[in-house]
Amino acid sequence: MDPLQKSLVRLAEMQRKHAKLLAVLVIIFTIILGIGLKDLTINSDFRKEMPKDLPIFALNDRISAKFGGEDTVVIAVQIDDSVDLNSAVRDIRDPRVIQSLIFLDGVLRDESSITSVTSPATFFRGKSEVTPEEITQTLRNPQANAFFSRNYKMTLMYVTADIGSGEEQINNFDEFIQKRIDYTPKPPGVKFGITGGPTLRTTIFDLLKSDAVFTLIVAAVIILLLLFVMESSYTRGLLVFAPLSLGLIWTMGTLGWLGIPLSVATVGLSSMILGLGVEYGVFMLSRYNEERAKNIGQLDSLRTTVRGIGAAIIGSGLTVIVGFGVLAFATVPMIQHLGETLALGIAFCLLAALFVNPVFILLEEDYEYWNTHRKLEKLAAKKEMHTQRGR
Amino acid sequence: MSNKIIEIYSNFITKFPVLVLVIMLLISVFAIQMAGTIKTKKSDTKSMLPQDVEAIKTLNSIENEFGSTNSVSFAVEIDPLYTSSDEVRDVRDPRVIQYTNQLSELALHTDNVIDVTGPASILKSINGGLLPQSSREIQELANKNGLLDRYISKDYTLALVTIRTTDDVDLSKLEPELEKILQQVPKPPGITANLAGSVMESQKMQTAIEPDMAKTSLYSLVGILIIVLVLFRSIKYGFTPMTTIIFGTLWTMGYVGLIGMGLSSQTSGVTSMIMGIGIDFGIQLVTRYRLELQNLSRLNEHHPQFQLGHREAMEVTLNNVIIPMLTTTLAALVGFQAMSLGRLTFLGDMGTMMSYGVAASMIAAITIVPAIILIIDQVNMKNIYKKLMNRFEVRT
Repeated sequence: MDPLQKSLVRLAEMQRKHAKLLAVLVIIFTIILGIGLKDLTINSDFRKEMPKDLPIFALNDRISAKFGGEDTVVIAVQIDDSVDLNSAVRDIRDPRVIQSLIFLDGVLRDESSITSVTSPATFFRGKSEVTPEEITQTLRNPQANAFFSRNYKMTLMYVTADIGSGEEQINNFDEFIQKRIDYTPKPPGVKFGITGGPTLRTTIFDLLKSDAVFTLIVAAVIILLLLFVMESSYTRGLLVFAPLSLGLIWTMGTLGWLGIPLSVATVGLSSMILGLGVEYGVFMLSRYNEERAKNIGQLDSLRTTVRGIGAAIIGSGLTVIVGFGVLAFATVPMIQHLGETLALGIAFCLLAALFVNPVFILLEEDYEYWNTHRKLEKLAAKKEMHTQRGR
Repeated sequence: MSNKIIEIYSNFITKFPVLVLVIMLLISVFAIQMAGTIKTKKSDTKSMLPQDVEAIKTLNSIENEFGSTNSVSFAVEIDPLYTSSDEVRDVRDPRVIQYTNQLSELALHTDNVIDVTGPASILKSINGGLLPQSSREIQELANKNGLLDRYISKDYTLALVTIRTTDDVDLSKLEPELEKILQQVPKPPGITANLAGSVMESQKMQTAIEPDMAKTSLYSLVGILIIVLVLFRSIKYGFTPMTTIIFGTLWTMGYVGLIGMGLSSQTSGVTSMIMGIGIDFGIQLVTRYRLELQNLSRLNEHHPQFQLGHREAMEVTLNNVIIPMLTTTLAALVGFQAMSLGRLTFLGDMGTMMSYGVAASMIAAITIVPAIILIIDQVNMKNIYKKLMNRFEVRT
């Protein structure tokens, strides 16, 4: 027997001897790491997942910093074809639309955080009153045409601001723009929409949150059902799933403790960890049951399982960790972060399978043994009573 | 019922390992051919976003109304080398405006370019079609309204010339054309000019990720080989599980080529991940097989009448590992496919490709790997060596 196998046999013996104590230690460890979950954050900034070392990214960042590109909100004003009033706007160059834009332009420029506002209204700045004739005349300028779509159904207003990077600040800014749009007087037949960097970031942030929960629930439910079917037992299915869930909690908790946020790359992390980590528990449990089916005692079965399967899953776990870990050498940070966090997740699932799975298997078996005997004793006492009473 | 099917299957594999090997090798030859057709594709971020969200709907309608939103820029930055020289220190310098004008005119004559807007074209439009010639004139016009705000930075160190292209533009062809313009047009002293824009980011990233897959796959392969050799402490059993990932990856890439999926920045690291996951099946199979060989040798010692060998060991192995392997494969497929179920599907392609990889590795582990192990184990290498040596001696 090599040193690894000797160590694994010792581990099995310890698990058999101190199953309850080990279970308590696992719970304490889970609580400690689980506290980190409350600090787990989500980063919706897609650019942070891009290779910033490439000169093109550095240049584009400089451009964004100088022109406020990342913080540019685009307000799209378009004809609403569903409105069939006679007075409804049919051409976006309609002076009533431009008057609306002039109003919005003034309101937005009054805000200190807004650095620039550009739209067809820009042509009329500094004028106290603008007549419809003047608007029609000015918009003949070919430069003004760039603000209108080819069929004159839409015009754009670019609002650049120094918002900052916090999700709350972005949310507040979006709400601020929406409120200004809401109380801008609008002619019938036009509708306002908002898009652009900050708005899309808020959208992605919300989607990331819901996706992280949704994919985790879907994967967890399907994998649990699969385990119930493949193991032909609820208990055995749960015996594989419970340590796996602990591995997932440890991973997410560690990310929280280390301050590593979830991102577009790692939002599906939970489902992948569940999908990949299930393997170790399945092999561990099936081997233990195989040994027990030969009427071999708990300790010997556990020795064989932890020694045989333990060595195999350490090998296979390490290879998965290497497979994911080498992604740290990839060019794209999105792939680097995915590889690193998955490697961490697999490492925890491996630890859970090695240290927690056998303990849970033993405790469940002991419980079943105790429960069966308790029921039998009850039944035996009942039978005894029936015998004494007679019929 | 399922156990019966598995037993029949194990019996077949162990009875005809050469036939299995030949069939799988033929499939591998086809896979090699198909893998050769894989192309690197540009990742389309927009298609990964849900289309029913208000902000994205607005973005799409802007694209529909304004036509292509694909744009590339010439970024002209001041970069003086010497103090108190006559190098450019403000992008509103007439030499820079003249320079951006030349860039715009040449870019406009490039294929797939719809229009070009920059400081020069804006100044011309507000100056009666003429390019202002003096710094004072330019500064006055620049302050006239906010139209230049999007082309000249507030600190006057950066100017942008925006080139709008068609949606179907081939960036790999456009990029060298625009680079040629940047090289041809003489620059005023003290400035640098480069290609910029988010569209160019994906083009540059595509070029950068091309060697990624080879690099990460190689590192992964070497790392895995070291672990497996240390684990089994045997050259033969160390290399055998490697066949799982060699064939698994090959079949995956063959299938990816066959369906024309293509590789993107998101899937650039997929091979190393498939290798890391796929090797598990090989390790489980070889570990169990070696254990069964030990068990059988003990059994043969106690019951010499049985004389059980490699075939029986492999049969027992397959009977016992197929169900756990199938469970783990299905669970992994669920995990990977769940990645595409969210509303953001940035890594959906990666999940799909990993699913193919895990399934292919599992198939390799229960077909070609046991066949190879049995063929190698049943062939007596010493006898072959002796025979070869005898022939050699007779001839000499």
